[in-house]
Amino acid sequence: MPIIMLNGVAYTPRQILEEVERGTQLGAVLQRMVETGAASLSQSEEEELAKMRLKQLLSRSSAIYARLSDTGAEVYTPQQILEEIERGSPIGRQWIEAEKSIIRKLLMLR
Amino acid sequence: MPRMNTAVLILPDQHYLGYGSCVMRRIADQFRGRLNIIELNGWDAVPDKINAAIRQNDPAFVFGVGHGNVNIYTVECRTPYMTVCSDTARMMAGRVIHLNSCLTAQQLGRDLIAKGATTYYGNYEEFWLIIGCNWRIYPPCSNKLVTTVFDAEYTVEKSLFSGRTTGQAQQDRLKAYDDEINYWTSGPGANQPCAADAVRVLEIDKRIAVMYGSDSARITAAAPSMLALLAGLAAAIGLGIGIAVGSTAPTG
Repeated sequence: MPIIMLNGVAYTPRQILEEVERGTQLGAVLQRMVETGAASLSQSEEEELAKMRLKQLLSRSSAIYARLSDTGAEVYTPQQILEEIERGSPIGRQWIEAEKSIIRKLLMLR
Repeated sequence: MPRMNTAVLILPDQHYLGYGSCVMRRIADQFRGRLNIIELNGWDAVPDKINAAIRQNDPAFVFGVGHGNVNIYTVECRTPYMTVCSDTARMMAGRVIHLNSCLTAQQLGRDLIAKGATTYYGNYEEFWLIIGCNWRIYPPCSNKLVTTVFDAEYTVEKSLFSGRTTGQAQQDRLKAYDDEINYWTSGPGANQPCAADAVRVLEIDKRIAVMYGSDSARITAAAPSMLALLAGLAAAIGLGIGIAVGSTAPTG
């Protein structure tokens, strides 16, 4: 899954490694971003990256989720969570905010 | 004044609540020798029986898992039990409360503190759990995937029952979430097919794990230390010797 964005393009750890191994200028920039924790994502980039990662995760997930709420559905499939994310519902926002938190931890950005 | 070392646990089973109740029953079993633990399981987890247990036992600690919302906590079969500004909320005065129930931290938790509860632990937004993987639903307590969020969330009870303060229990709770996340990212669970899902759900639940009220309360009475026991013993022996000497010493 992608962990950073540069000029609107998202990069996975594998793509970063490939660029670094090829010795490209892009690879050097990406490596510096990861190693120094200097990669600063704008709010919109972070949001986009979080949605991108969740879409990848949930589209191949076979998990079954439940929640302890007294309204609405109790059980959710990954597809239903994706729909919540696309609708921008409170449930979708909850998942996006948690994913942003995971991205920050991965890169120790903030 | 509620009774220390006494806990009432509200453990409904319907509507997927058995996933949490099952984990809490295991914790209760570990501490039963040290505390007076009253479990209200399944159809005993209904309002009349809960109120009777609280009146009869006057517990320092009340735990409940259940479906909830900002201003309501429900019990078995989603029966409403506690709402903001209700008599039931007032019954919680002087006690430490943990409601593992969606959204209750937004209003109900604050109301409990306003009505005199010592400490409240709860969930500020939706509390998520995983009940299956590979499109199969697993039974409660059948594997780590279905217990992971409760293993973290119910660290509150493990800590409080062990004599830690309410503030320490909250710290232990948050650390337990990190430990569970590590289990699925770099530990034994990392290769499980739903590991990434577990990490997301744990991250969500950690972010909404709040505590209000006193951070220095305990629900266990401090056990007398060994030193205090020895001092008491020595005093008793000394008193005994004094009486014996007094009775045998010459008097004139």
